[in-house]
Amino acid sequence: MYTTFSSPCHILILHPPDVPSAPPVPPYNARQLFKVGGDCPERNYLFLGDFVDRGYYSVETFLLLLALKVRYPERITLIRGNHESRQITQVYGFYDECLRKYGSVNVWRYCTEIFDYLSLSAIINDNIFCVHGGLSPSINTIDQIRVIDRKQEVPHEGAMCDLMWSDPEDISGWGLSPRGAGYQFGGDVVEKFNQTNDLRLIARAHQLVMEGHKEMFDNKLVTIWSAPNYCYRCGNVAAILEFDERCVQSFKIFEAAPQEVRGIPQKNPAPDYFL
Amino acid sequence: MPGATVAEEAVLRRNGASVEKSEDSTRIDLGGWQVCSRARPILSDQEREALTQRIAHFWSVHCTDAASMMMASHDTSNYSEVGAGCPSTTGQSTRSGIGEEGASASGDHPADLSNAGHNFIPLPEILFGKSFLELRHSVIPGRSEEEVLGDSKEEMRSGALPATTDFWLRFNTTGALISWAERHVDTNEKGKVEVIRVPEASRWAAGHLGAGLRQVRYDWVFGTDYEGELLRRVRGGGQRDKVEADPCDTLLDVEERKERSAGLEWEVADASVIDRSLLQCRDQPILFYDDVTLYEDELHDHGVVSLNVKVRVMPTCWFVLLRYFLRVDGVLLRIRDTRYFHRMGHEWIGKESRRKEVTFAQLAEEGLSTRTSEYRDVNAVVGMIDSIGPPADVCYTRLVLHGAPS
Repeated sequence: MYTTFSSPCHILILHPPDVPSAPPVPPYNARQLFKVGGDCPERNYLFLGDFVDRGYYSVETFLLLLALKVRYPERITLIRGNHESRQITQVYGFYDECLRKYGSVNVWRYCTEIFDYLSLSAIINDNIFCVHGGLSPSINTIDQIRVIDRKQEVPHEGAMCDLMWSDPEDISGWGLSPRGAGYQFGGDVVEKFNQTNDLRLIARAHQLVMEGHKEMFDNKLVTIWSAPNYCYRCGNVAAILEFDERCVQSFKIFEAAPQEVRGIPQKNPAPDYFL
Repeated sequence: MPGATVAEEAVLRRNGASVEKSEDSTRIDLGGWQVCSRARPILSDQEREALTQRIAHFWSVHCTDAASMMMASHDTSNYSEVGAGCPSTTGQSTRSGIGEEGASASGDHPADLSNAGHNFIPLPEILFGKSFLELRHSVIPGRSEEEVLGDSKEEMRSGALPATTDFWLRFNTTGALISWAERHVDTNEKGKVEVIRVPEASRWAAGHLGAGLRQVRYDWVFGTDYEGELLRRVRGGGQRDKVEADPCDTLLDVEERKERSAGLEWEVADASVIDRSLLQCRDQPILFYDDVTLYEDELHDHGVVSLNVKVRVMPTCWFVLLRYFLRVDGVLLRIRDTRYFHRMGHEWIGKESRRKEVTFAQLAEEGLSTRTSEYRDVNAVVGMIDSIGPPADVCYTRLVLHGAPS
């Protein structure tokens, strides 16, 4: 497993047709995704991180993607999201899920070791930059990402943290989030980054978008969301961004797997003598 | 989408209740009350945009200082620090992205502000803007609408309060977010906008605030003073009452809202307005139950905020709990509960407003876990934090239903 991931460089250069995509949760929705996007290994897939922490089947989802990665290392690309972290998974559910399902935290520990080997970003066809969160004020060129020592827990600050945490916003320049930590970046920042690095598009995930995809800044940045009916009740659709042989892009929209496939009863609230 | 849960037909009938289900909403009629709820998927991008515009418009109309929140964020000195906050940084350009040049627009040009600012009014990520709960107190059983209407006209003429019949107690996302927006206006006037900072904030402020970095400030935890809305129905005029027409909307005009809630005033009361022993009694069936989430946000993985409203209607009473729950990881837990209770046939509605807040520092002092995963379940949190720190801030009021049968 470690050899599969330990490529010396953490920018992966990919060639179309590739399908970048946000995380599919849970596995039955992953199957929906492959049904809509085409089977692996016939198609190449790139997943934009946040494989775990949401829904009841994080472990199964992540292991399915890992299995595909091992079987078709050239066909599947996984990049790291901010949830692929020891600290975050202890708060948002993956740790508890592993403990509940396996009775020990070993599976969680092994998974988090794998997290450290995931790439931080990828480039498709030399001109599409894929990352989980967004840009960083300390990164002007792609080469600066190549020199980051990524094999570590996601730090609280710095370039590696920014790539996984920052968000595009309708501002100009860089914004400090109202939380007091974390960056927001505007259209001019994207414009400059794309120009400097000869890019035409930044594809990222990290934020829920109801229609599965949301273009910003003159289509120079796109947010993709591939988890339909998020948290089992948002009712949102999900999207896959697809590139054909000539790298022409299109979106494929899909909905959550039907009830019977999921094996989870519809959550109708049970009457409760609440106080 | 899940909907309300109702008792079996026979149980409903035995208790004199009837239920009507439409495609996506459910309504129960019992003892002069109609309780209706609806849970729909989160808003589409387009609907979200429309709601953003509406809130931007509200800002531009209702803020005497048209720049409102945007200007509040311009001056770094006028916000208070909470929890593990960092000292405010000054001396640099901190105008937020909201409003931009439009921030100087006056109330005369509301469109300016909404146009300039609409892109950046950051609403919660998960917005159930088409979901609602409403309780309508309809005409008094056994009396016709004309009789009641005649009565209230008579009362108005004689200077007495009109009968408090035919009004709604309503809970929806728009109202809650307008209240969130209003907080910025209010706090601006008082010179304080509360901005909670995440634990990393102080480190960030030290190392990252360089030239050209704007501070974007607003209440990112979507705090709201919303307790639902009481609105009287307006009859006649040939047009359908707009309040009645869209249960997911709210009246943006402050004057109009005042007018519509005239005579529906809460008076100070005590804890007895909520009959807990009756509510704890499980002998009577729940005829109608629902749990409607209005909004949620994962605070960009710094915690969670949610606003939801639960209702249960029983043969002898109904009970509503509107709950705002906030957890900022490593900083604080905050709960704001509003409970409404009405005993069928009694001439008042009781209300309890309860606020409780505990910081992670206080948890540590008490020797309790500061692992955030222990504080995911709000029901567990409520019980756990009640005895920690200063007592909860509790206030009881009641609304007398004039003209109800005695």
